[in-house]
Amino acid sequence: MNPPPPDSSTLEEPVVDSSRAAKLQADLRKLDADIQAPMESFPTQRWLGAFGLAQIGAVIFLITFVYTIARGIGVWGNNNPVGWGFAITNFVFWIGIGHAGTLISAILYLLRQKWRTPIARFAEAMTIFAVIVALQFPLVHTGRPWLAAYWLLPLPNANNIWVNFRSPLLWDVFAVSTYALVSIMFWYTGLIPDLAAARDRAQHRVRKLVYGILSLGWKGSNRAWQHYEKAYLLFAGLSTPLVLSVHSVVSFDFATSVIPGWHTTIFPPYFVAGAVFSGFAMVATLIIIMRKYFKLQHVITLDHLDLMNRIVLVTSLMVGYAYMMELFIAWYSGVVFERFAFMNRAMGSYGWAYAIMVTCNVILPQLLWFKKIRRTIKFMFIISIFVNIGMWFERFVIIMALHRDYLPSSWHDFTPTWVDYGMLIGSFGLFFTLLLLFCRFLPTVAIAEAKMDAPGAQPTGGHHE
Amino acid sequence: MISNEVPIHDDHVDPPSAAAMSRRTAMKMFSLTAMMGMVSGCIRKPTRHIVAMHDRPEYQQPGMPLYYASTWTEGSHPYGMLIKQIDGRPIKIEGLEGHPLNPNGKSTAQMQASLFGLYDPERLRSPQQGGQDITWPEADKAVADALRGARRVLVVTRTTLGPSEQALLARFRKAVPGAQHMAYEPAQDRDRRLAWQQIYGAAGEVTTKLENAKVVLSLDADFLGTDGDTLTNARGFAETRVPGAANFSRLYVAEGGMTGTGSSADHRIPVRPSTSAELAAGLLAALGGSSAALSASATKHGWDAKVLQALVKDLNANKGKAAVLAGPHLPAAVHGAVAQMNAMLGASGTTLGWNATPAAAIASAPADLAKAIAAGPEVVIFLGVNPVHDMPGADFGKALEAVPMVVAQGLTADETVSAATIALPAAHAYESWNDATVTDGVTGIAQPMVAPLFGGRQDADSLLAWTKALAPDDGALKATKDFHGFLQARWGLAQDKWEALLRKGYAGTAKNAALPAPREVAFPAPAAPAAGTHDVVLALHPQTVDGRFGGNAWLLETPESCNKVVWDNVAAMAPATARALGVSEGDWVTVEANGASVKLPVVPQPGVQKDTIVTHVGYGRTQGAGHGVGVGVNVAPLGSGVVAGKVSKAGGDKYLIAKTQHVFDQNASVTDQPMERHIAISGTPKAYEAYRKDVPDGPDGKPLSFPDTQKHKLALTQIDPEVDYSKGHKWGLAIDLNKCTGCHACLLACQSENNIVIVGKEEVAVGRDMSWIRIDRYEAGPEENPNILLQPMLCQHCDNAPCETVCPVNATAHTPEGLNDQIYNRCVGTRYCGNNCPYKVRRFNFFNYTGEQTTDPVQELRANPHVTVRTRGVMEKCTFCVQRINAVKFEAANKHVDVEDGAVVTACQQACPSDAIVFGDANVKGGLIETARGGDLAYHVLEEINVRPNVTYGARIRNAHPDLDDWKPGAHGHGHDGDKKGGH
Repeated sequence: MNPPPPDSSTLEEPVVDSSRAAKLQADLRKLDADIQAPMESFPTQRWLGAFGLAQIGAVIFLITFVYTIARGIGVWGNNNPVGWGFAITNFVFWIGIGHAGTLISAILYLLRQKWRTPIARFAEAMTIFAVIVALQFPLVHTGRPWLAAYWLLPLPNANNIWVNFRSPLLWDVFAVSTYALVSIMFWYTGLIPDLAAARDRAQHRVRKLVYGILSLGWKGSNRAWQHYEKAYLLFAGLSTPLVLSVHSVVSFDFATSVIPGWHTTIFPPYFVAGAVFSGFAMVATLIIIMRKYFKLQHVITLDHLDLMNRIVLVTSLMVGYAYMMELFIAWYSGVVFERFAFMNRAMGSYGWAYAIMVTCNVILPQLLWFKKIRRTIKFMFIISIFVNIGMWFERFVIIMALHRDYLPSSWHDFTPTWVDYGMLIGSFGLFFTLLLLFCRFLPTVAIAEAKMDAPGAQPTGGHHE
Repeated sequence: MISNEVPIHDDHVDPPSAAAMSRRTAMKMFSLTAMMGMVSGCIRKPTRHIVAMHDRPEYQQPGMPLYYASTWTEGSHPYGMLIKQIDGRPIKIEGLEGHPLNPNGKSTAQMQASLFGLYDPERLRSPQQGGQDITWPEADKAVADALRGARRVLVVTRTTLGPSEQALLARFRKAVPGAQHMAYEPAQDRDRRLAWQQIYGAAGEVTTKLENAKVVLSLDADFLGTDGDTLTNARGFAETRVPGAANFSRLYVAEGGMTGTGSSADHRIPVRPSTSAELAAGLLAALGGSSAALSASATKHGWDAKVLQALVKDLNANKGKAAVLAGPHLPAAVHGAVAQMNAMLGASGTTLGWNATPAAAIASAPADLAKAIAAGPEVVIFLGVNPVHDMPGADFGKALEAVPMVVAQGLTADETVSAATIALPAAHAYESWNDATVTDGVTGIAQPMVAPLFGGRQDADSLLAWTKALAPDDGALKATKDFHGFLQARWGLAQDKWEALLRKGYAGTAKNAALPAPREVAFPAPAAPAAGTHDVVLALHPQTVDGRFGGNAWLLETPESCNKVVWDNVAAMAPATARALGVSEGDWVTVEANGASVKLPVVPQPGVQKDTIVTHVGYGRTQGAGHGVGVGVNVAPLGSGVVAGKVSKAGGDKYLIAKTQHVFDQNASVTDQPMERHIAISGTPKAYEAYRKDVPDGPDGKPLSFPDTQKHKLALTQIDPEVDYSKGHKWGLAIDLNKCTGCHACLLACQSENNIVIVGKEEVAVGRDMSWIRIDRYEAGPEENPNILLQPMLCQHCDNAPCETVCPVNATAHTPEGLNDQIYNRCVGTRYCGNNCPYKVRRFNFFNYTGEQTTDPVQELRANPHVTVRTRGVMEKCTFCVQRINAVKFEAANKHVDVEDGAVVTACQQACPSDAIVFGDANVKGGLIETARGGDLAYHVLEEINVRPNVTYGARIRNAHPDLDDWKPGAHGHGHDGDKKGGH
């Protein structure tokens, strides 16, 4: 998808309007200064307030995490039919959030979608933090995490017992850890020139030293840039299949089971679409806040947000299609258990969750057909939050298929406890803690790329459009 | 007998070769050793002293079980028991094969659960006076002193004193001239026994031989659950539950509540208990040819006239092969009419018999006991009874306050023991010597399995001590050291004969007398129920009975058979009644009767007659019941049996009701008929006959079984490579739904065998009960009177086990013998296996249940050492009793023989009183499993998802009377025979 031609009337502030080299130089410096301003100034009260809130959340997460490990899974609402509850819902939710980053930075990069530039860094960081948060859950949800931590890895041992390669949970271990590692490396590679820029601007000794070490001696030589570009391209290529594979593999946790409501072949594409959907919505939510408070409206423009909203709309249609197709296939299968599972999903004990899911994921995003709404910060902000609520409930609804499966004798509802809620709220605290630290210590927009894309920064005579 | 080379773990009774006294000493030492090991059990790394067994009897092999024959003395019928003991610890109860009462070696749920009581940390540990610990000699002196000067002494014992205990009691009464004896039981079938006494002219009880019956009518008699000799009843009944066989019996149940027996009925009529006399009289007249009264009553009370007509027809057509049973709480007039009916039907000697010497004496009337207390005795001695809690009606504890000296001996500091001046710790039945009148002509013997764990002393030993103190001149007693000596002297057998008796467990042969001819007794006609009242049935609980197991957490956590409530007694009422009262589950009602008022939580129970409320006695313990304290409500103030009560809505917050099953309709929420779930499958005789005339072929060309014709049998494709199980063993289990009566003995046997923990009411309410086997209950049809299908559900050991593929750490895997094993050490607790189990039989340790429950090291002794105790975060489930399989295999290997089909007996199978469970090797041609699977009623639950389960079910044929069989030719089979949808 190509971006529409820039609509100069809506651009809040043109980035570069002169072809004169000196002006360009000054503009690029200003870009440097604008992007790095939050790193170099004393934390604002807003930041401190936000960080304090996030810290409260993170502490809640820590308390519930430790309490769960100390006492056992029984402190959650999980029970016999419903073996998984909030923890796996949160896991899938956060992994889904982590999708947008790589999609934006890798796939859109390969597709030469320049509009990705201002949001890529932030989205990548969000990805990594979301994956870090997500990774807490598979570990803490096991009954004996101290054993799970290493028995889930295929380490040679004296008993010659291997992990079970047939288990989708093991595929998860590989898929998610690969995704996390590649995302971190990709992100870090992209950060190197910017870290060097931060080093060069640094006044304080310690600052200079830390950024100096992190920038790996980047000098900005032609050779270095050549290697950098190649490496970046390679990572982009490597990450691209991962975007599709991770959530496909996560969906296998459900799709390969025999449980009605889980056992469906539509899950892999449906999960990937859902992940992109929620990821973009989360990026939108956060970037709307960030561009406002860090005054980056001229870097992350309404055009960019409009394009993101279009992706949200497309993926919303995809998940909407999946919801309908699930119901159709359940009916078409002629299997009593399948039919019941989906009737129950929509109208059973958790029908309210299904209603929230459909409202937030399918109905509300239809507003994005209107250009006015796509380009109004207020509306898109609200919609993006609802999309994330809806996507959390989508995972919850899927996992709650467990509460009524085959034998009616075993049916039992799931009621979350304060620890469940605490971990859910706390996970946001952990996420925002990491994100706010990122905002303070690393450039939130890829400076080098923003400079490259700045009008007039390209070699003249060529046509880059 | 020397068997040093071959480890002894076979299941015959191992004769002790040393003298009995030295065995006892040895047991004392084992116990001491164990206790020493336990001393510091509470710290994390305890210092455990290992004491070599220096004087080990030659038959005792460390870790190898020994089996001792004994007799069950904690119930109304003294069944034979085989007690498994390892290293001096009794760890499992089984039935004694060949015993006159339970010759198939079966046992009740209570027998299975009784070990909990033995190792109950709540047990009283020392004699006490005024709350202070005293020694036994001090206690004996105090009691003897009080007795010496007393002119009026009252001794209250349980009704089931053995002959030797009775002889000793006679000696005691001789020594204490003012002593009066009363036998006490809070909810005995006293009124029925008294009615029988009048009808048959002698004290005694009616026995059953249901194996000879083709038609059985039960009037409110829960003969498969709580009423009478349930093991004999279940055995006889099960023998006739073979569809297609000539003796395939038909069970009619007319009852007010919903019982296990009613659930097993072919035709069930809800009848208000207070109108049952009318029903019995009407039936008697109809059997005599005049059915006008019956039809009139049927119209009046809304009984199903068609079923009654069929019943009369059936009874008349099966003279000599029919039996009528009536419940203990029905008025005497019913028993009179029933006796006449049985005489007309020629039941005597064929389906019914007579036992002139029941094990339990007729209990004294509560009023007489109250009167005896009011008469002002100086000393009252309670031995093994708890009237302060469970005496129907009056506030017994208050009356007792006037007695200067109350001596009470009990296992725990229960309400009566706590109210006593001198509280004495009793020895458990498994720490005691005893004998019991099994039946007419047979006496059983009970031997101790372990020295008293808490310094307790059996009731008889206390009586003996006091008798000796009071009658020092009784020459015969002088030489008697303890009750063991008294008992042995009374039996007067030579040592070898005595040992042979202990090995056998009983002496004599049953007389099996025929039922005497009934006399016409003019019993008063019961008054018609007053308007605005309900019949409140104060029933025995199918698990905790009359409350004697009210502190037994195993039984408290076993669901009530019909409404699946655990850890409570509730007011079960028809859903319509609940609606009329404006209450729903968990709301409170006030029940007023006999001037007392009790508040009970409501559970709507389909099938209960609309004017009847059912609750259970023995709950609401306040002291000495451990986990049972505060559980449920004490309904004793309302009276006993059936009382006319006023029921009204009471306020108050919703009460948490913990149930192990919530949905009872297997087609719940299936909106698009005719689709149905085919989980528990049933059919009617006509449908089955039609099928047998023309057996259709399935998609694979093989003939379909009857249940398969009801499902859409698919040809399934195997994607994974086939595993060859044809070599060696391939274990399988089969359950016949025609035979299961839902008694839960299997569940408790499994609990005892496999160290399954209890989790408590709150955890069950969340959905975390731990049973490896459960009895699923499905109701279909109108809520006023649904048809019931019971289905024991356990791990199916699927060949394509869905749990195995999803475990990331290989903690659950298949053995070459087809077992689905769970490797606890390896399990990290992802619960993925549990999620992916279509049968939901996997159980997760959400907390460290075992550790949190073990408040006392003595509880560790209860565990079966051959089964791993599971910790927190680990998944567990049925193993097909792999430890039993291995024991049999090792034994066979040592003897260089093959394992015979049927040699492995799982715990559930071993206990099942109706022989509904069969375990065996599917590779044996013509073996138990192949036969079960080849039967035309065999099916597998959820086989359509190709998990290939290894538990075969036999579909239930509800033996509807031909006149009432609504099956029509050409109709597609359906899961529940002839019902419209409903339930709840």
